[in-house]
Amino acid sequence: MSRRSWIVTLGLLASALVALVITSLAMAASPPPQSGPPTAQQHGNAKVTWVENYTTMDAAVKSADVVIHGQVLAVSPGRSLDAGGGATVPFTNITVRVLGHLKGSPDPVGTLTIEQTGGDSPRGPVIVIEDPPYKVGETYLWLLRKVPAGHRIISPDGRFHIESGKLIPVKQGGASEQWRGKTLTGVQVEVARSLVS
Amino acid sequence: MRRQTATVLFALMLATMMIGPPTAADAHRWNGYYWPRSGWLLDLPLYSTVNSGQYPEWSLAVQDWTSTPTPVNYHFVGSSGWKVMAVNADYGATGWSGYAIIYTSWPWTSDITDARVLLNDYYMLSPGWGEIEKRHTECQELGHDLGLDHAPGYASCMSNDPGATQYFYAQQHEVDDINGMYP
Repeated sequence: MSRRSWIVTLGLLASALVALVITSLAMAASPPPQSGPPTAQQHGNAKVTWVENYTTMDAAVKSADVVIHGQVLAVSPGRSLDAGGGATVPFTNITVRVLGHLKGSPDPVGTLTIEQTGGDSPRGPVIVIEDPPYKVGETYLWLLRKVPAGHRIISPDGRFHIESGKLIPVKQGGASEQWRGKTLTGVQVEVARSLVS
Repeated sequence: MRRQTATVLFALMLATMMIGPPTAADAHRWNGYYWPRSGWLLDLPLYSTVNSGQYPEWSLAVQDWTSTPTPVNYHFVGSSGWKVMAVNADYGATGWSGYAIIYTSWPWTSDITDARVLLNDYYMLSPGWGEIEKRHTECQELGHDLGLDHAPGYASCMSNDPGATQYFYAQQHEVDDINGMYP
C-alpha cells in the first residue's frame, strides 16, 4: 500500500469517525422539556390491549361473526377521536371486495368495510404495530366481528395476507401461526370442521 | 486503492451498525423506544383526566409502576409540564380496551417525546370487567408508554394471553425489562 493510499484511507477513516461522533451526539441529545404537547409533526406508534385473545384458530373461528377472503379496493380516512393534549386516535376504513366467505354472510354482499384503528393524524401517522396499514390490491383472509361501523378484525389473529395462494399471518406468534402456509382450500376445510364440532 | 477504500468503508459501516443505543437484556422492548433522562430516575409527570369515579383503581395502577424497584417515577401533575397524558372515553367497539401512543421526535429516532394512555369505557366499564381486568389493561398501557412491548407467554401484565389478566400489576419480568432499558 503506497503512502498516498494510507493518507487517503486515514483521511476517510477520520472523516467517518467525526461524522459518527456528531450523529451520536445529536441522537443522544434530550429533547427540550415538555410543557404540554409538542406541536411539530411527529411520528406516532401505538400498542393496544386487545380484548379478544385466542389460543387456537378453532376458537377464533367459532367466535368470529364472519370469515371471508377478499381484495382491498380502497383505503380511506375514517373517524378521529380525541386522545388528549392535541393528540388523536385516527381510524381508517378499508373497503373490501368479498371474493368468498367461509362463515357468516357479508352484508352488503359483494363489498364490506373494515374499520381499522390507526392512520394519518395531524401529528403524523399512527400505526398499530400488530395491525399495519393496508394497500389497495392486497388480498387477505379475515376473521371479523360485526360492529356499528361495519366490521373489525376479531384481533390480530384474524388477519392473514394471501401470497401466492398461501396464508401468511400478519401477527407474529400466537394462534394465527396454526394457519401459516395453508391454502384457502385447506382453511375452508378447517373452518367447516370448526363449525360442526 | 478502490478496493482498500471500499473495505475501510464497509468496516466503518459495520462498526456504526454495532455502536447503537444500549440493548436490553430482554427481547420485550418496543422497537428500542426510550425516554431520554438526565439521571437515574425516570421522571414521568402524568396528567390524567381519567374519571376517578369510573376508574377508582387507576391511581393504584399508576402507583404500582412507581413502587417497582426500577427508576420509573410516574406521578400526577396538572395540565402543564406533563410528559404522559391519560384519558378515558367510550371509543366504541374497537376491539381494544386500552390504547397507548408514544411519539418520537422523528420516525428514525427512538427517543420518546410524549405519550398517551387511553382507556376505552366501551369495554372497561362493561359488565364482567372488575378491578383486576381494568388494572391489567392500565398496567399494560403504562408499560407500553415506558417502551415495553407485549410479552406473550410470560407471567406479565404485558401479556395478552388468555388468562393473563391475573397479572394486573408489574411483575418481575417487567422489572427486569425496565432495569435493562434504564440501568
